[in-house]
Amino acid sequence: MARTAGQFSIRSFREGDERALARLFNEYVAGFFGPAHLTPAAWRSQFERQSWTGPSVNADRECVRVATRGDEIVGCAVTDYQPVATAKGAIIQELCAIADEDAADIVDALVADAEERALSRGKTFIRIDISQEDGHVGQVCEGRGYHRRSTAPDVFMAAVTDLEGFLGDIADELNLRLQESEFRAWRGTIGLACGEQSCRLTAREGGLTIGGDGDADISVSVQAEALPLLLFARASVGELYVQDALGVEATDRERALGLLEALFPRVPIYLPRAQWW
Amino acid sequence: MKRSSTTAIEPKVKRGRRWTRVYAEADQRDVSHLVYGPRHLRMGREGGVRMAAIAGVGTDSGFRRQGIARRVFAHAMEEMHRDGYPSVGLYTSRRIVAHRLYRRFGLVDVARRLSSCKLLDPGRFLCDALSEMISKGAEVRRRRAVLSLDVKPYGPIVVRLQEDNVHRCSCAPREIEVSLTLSAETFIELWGGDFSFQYARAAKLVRWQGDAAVCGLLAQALDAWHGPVDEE
Repeated sequence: MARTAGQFSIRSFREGDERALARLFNEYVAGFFGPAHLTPAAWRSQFERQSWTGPSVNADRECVRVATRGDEIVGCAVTDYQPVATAKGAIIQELCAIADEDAADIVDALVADAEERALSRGKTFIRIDISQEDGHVGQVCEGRGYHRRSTAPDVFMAAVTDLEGFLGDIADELNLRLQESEFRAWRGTIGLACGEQSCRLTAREGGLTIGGDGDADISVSVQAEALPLLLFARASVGELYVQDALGVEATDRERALGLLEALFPRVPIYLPRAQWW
Repeated sequence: MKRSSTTAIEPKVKRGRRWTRVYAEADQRDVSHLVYGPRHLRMGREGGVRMAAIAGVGTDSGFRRQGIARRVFAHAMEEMHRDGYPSVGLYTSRRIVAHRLYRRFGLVDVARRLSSCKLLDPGRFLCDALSEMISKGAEVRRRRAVLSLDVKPYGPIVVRLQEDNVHRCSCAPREIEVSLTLSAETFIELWGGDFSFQYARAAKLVRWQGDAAVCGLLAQALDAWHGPVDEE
């Protein structure tokens, strides 16, 4: 049954929603680190079968609730009402809304809807297992009486095993960051070294290239423990620099730090549960 | 049964369509293993990074602390590098003993799973959760202790700890043997295994009073709920 909240209504998933839901998801997470780009088929395959990471839309249409405004899909919540880990609770594991002034209201209404459904199914608690670096989720949690587990021991661990390969993978993004920054006219070479790994980033007329050798205008040394934090955008250059986990040698160190901040900004993480492995 | 020498165990690799399995055999069976497969992590608007996603790490309990898991992990790291992955990643818990092993191979905690919880039916939730938390405390359950549980902001409930379960009850105040006061956040974190009851007491996150013997048995049961997990 659809429910109406303000200018939008909420209903369960229907066949054919995948295209709009994949687009909504991709737009929503564009500024985050972590989630993969989803095609409509990839979005659907996430919820094809019940697994420990997610519910099955084939078995339970209500696990995906869609907010619509007119014919347009403007929000979505994916809730697992039968999580593998606990039969007594429900887990909201994806929450997206279109980027406009209604976003916070849409997210709030989707959460309220999931709470009602969980309660009607006899659940004693509901969990939100998604990024709290996402402003909407943080605000909703605060406003709706959620208790935050601030010391949860569950972690995502990562290592960079091929520095040049890693930077090669994100070369387009690095280029984009450089072009959009105040350093777009900068030309030169950055040497990045961490233990036995090293790599050169060279800014020329045609853009940024990864690899090669030669003298570096800016030499950056990163401690082994800090390299994943820097490259997975979990710590900023400034943070690592003041912690002595990152060293910079350059004629103008302040400007070099600014350039590095532009290339390697800290970005919020969003790893939806359905994309865990 | 005579066990094979573990120093002679050499990891093996079995490639599937999507996942690659690295494992070690002893006594003609798989005693330590992991799998890895391709993953693509978004990095901004234009980029994404290839990652070898590690999962299913496990070592038979009889073969732990002998360096077998370390050899399997080292072999897997070489294979992943050979396969051209520039990064590796896995989900785990800091409570797991193997977390230290992963760190030795250069894996770093890059994100902590943050979750928030709302109690839809606080009374039932508290009874169910407490029942799980004292599941290893046979003595306190045999004692059929009566407890006043004041979880802020939900207010106190009186429960009886029984053999099979924790039941809400209405007892006279003089029957209450232990009173426990804590916040809902602390209760949820204790239940989630985020920290131990011992830690919560030391950090003064829990206030309790009452019969010393029952308090002792209850503390024993709650302490047993959390501890380093020797698995993976």
